[in-house]
Amino acid sequence: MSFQKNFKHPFLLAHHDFFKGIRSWSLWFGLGIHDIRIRYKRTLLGPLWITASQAATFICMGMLFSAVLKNDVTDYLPYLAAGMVIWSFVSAVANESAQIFTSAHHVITSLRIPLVVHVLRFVFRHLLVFFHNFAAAVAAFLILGGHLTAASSFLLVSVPLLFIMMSSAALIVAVVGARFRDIAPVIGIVMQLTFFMTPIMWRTSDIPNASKWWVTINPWHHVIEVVRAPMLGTMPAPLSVEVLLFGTLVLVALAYVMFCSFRHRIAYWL
Amino acid sequence: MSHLILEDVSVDFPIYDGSQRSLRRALAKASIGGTIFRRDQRHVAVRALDGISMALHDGDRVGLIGHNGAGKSTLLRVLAGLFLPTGGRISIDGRVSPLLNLGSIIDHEMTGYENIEHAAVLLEIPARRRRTLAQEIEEFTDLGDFLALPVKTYSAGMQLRLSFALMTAQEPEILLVDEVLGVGDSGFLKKAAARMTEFHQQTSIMVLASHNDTQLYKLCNKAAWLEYGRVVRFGPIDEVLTAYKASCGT
Repeated sequence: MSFQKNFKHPFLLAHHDFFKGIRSWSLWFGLGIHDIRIRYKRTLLGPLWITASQAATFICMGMLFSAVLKNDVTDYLPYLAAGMVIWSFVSAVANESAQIFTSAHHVITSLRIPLVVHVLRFVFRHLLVFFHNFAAAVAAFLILGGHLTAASSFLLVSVPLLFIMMSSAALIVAVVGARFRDIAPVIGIVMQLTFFMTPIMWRTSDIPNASKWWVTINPWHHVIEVVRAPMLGTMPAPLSVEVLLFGTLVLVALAYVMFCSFRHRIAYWL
Repeated sequence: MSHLILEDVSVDFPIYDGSQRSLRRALAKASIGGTIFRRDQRHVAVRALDGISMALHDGDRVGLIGHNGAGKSTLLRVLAGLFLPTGGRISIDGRVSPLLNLGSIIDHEMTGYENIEHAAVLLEIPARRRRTLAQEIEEFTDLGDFLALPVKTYSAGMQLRLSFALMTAQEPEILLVDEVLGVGDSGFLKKAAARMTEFHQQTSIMVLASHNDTQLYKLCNKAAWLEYGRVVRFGPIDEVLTAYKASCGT
C-alpha cells in the first residue's frame, strides 16, 4: 500500500488544535466582531449602549461614594471608573467562561473548528466591550481635569497581557466547566465577594496600615492596578507588573496542559 | 491520496444526568439505539460504536444504512474527527468537509448575504472563491431579494436551500453527509442531487448516511450496514442493500 497511516495521539492532536486555533486569528477576530454586531442590531445607539450604561453606573456611584467616603469627586470618580471598567471585563470573562463549550455545542459537534477559537472569540468579544467602556472612563478622567502622560502608553503592554491572561484563564475554566456544571455558580459567588475585597470602590490608602497585607496578597488587585494606573496617567507598582507577568505565564502553561490532556473528552461532556 | 482508516473503533458516551436508578437493568439492549451499560458503580454510558474496523481509500463512496440509533451519525462524527474514539484508533488523511447539521452555520438574525460572509469565514473558504461565492449562491438558491432579509423570515425549505448551498461551497477531499435533505421541495431536490453529483465527483472519498435507496444507488458504490454500533455487513452497494431490505422484511 502506498499510503502512510498516521494514528495520532490525542495529546498531539490537541497540541495542533491549540496552536492552529491561536493562528486562526482572523476567525476569532471576525466572530468576536460579529457577535457584537448581532447583539446590538436594530438598536439606536448600537454598541454605544455599552458605553452609556457603564458611564451612567460610574457617574452615579462615583458621586454617591465620594460623598460617603468623603473623597474629592474629581479625584475619586476617574479612579472608580477605571477600576469598574477593568473589573467588568475580568468578571464577565470569569463568570461566563464555564459555558463557552456548552453554548458552542452545535458547532463543536458539526464543524471542524479548533476548540480554542471558541474561547478566543469569547474573550475577544468581551475585550471589544471593554474598549467601549474604556473610552467612557478615559473621557471622564479627561473631563475632570486629568492628563494622559507618557506612563499611559504602558497600556499597550498591559492590555494585551490582560487579554492573554484572561484567555488562558477562560480556557481552563471552559474545560473544567464543560465537565462539572457546578463551576459556573461557584465562580459567580467568588467573583462577587472579590469585587468588595479588591480596591475598586475604595483605595488601599483608605484602610489601616495593619490590614494592607490583605491587598498585597490579592492577585486581582495587581491585575487591575496594572491597567488602572496608566489609565490615570501613572506607572503601576513594579510588584503588580511582576504578579501579572508571572500569573500570565503560569496560566498559559496550565491552560496548555489542561487543554491538551482533556481536548479529546470535551465533545463527550457537552 | 486520501484515506480513512478505523481500527477497532469504539465510542462510549458517558451519561452524567438522568436518573440512573430508573434504568431497569444494568445492561439493557433496547430495540433501537446503542447498548446502555454501567461503566462503574455510579456511571452509565451508551456504547454508540462497538469495534468498527474499516479502511476507505480514494474512489470509495460509502452509503451508511441501518435503523435509527444504529450509530450512523456517530460514525460520521468520528470520521470527521469531531469525536475521538474512546477505544481503538483512527487515521484521517485529507481535508474533511462534514455536512452533518446544516443549521449549525446559519444565524437567524442576519441576512442571507451576511450569512454568506459569515459562513465563508467559518468554513475557511479561500479568499479567491469568496468573491464569486455570493453570485453562485444566488443562482443555486433562487432566493432573490430574500437574501437581503434576515434568515428568520425564511421558511424551513428556504433555510435549507441557503444552508445547503453554503455547506457545499467547500472544496472537500473527504465528504461526510448525514441525512440532510428532509424539507426541500422537488425543484430543490433535483438541484441538490445535481450539486451532490458534481460535488461527489470532486471528492475522493464520500460517506453518506441515508434512508433513501434511490439516492444511495445513485451516489454510492459501497455500503456499510450498521446495527447496535457494529458493522453487520460491508461491501458493494447492491449486495448490502438487498440483504438489509430482506432483513427489514420489505
